Amino acid sequence: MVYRDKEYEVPAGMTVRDALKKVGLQPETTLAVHEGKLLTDDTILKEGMQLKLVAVISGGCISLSGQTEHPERSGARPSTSLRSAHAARARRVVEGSGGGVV
Amino acid sequence: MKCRKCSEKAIINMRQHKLALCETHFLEWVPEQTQRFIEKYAMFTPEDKILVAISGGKDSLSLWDILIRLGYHADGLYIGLGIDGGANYSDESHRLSQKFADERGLNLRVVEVEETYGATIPELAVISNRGRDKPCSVCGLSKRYIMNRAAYDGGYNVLATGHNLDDEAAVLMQNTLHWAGGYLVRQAPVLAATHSGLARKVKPLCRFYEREMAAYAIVRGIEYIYDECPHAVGSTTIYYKEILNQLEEKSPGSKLQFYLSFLQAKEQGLFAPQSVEVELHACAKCGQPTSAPGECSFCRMWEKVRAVKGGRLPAAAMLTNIVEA
Repeated sequence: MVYRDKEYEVPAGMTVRDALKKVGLQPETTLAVHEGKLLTDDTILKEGMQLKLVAVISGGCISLSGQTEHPERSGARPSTSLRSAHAARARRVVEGSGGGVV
Repeated sequence: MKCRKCSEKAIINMRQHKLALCETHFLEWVPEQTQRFIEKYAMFTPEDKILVAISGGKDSLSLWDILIRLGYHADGLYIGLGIDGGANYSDESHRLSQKFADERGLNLRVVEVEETYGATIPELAVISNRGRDKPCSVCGLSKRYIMNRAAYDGGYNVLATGHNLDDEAAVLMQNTLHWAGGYLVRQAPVLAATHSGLARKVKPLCRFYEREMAAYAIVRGIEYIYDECPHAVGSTTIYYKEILNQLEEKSPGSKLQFYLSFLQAKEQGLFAPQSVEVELHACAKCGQPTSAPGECSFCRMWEKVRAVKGGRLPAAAMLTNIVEA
């Protein structure tokens, strides 16, 4: 599976939903595309399938009511740490994965 | 998983609606629902002249596509912000927006901020000393001003943006956690034109999940800018979206319920209108409505730029700088 130029390998036989969770991605915020077609979360991955994962979240900075978000308004940068946690989990999974390749 | 309507293979499962649809029926369902929201919130009618704010992203391009499919008269407005971010962000988003318009024979109006006013948005952030060198504050102010002015000068009475439910729920969460009453009162699918110089602002996608809009763009073959605005990376909006999606994962429909319950509570009078209505008057320089005495904050901001760079002032005839495709 390819997500933002990163490759992940998961065992065949998993559902798309489980595969996303396994590599630390939120199924609610990721779409799986196979050969140009969207897959539902319950699709069972087969040996050799190559998926493109599409992140769906974007971070608009403007509201029409005149409110503008500042990325550092709240001081802490939890988003980054969450991402780091995702990435770390993903790395662990990739390093530890065996069996079939999806 | 099978499509609820025809038993073909589904391409999307919307757990909050307990609805799985195939490609054909999803492409029917999205405009049908959009039309339902347009009517429910009395956003506009086929007689209205609509200007769609186009960023080159999935939401704004999908919105434009849907409105055209529904038969509305809708032109696009692209605002060139001059953001590079190491990836030619603005150039690429302009290219994709123009490509979308050209392929469909649509009219995209373009305002390049640097050409029109004399500095890019990142330069403006530094010169105006607003937002601690982050351009989000001046970017928001500039976009709101330019969008409203372009709508007014171009004879559009409705300004449509591609805000989806995740955008709205994230802002709602942020405002609720801060008990930002003023913003909570104003958050709505429609902001009425309360002054003759203001366009009505509408959000026809406000009840679609972000996931659905990404799916729509993919299925429709819309080429959109995938990368984030480089200045939005790490934004609190994204953080709140992630939290809301964690709730959604455990309890499908949480985001939708959060937003719809808020709208319902407003309708039932939970939020009292502000006792003192803000009085608007025409800016002494550009004529746009403003609550500030004398010149509007946009004009005052660009005064600083002129002082530093010798840049041009916002011209009364700004539309001469709008390029029509």
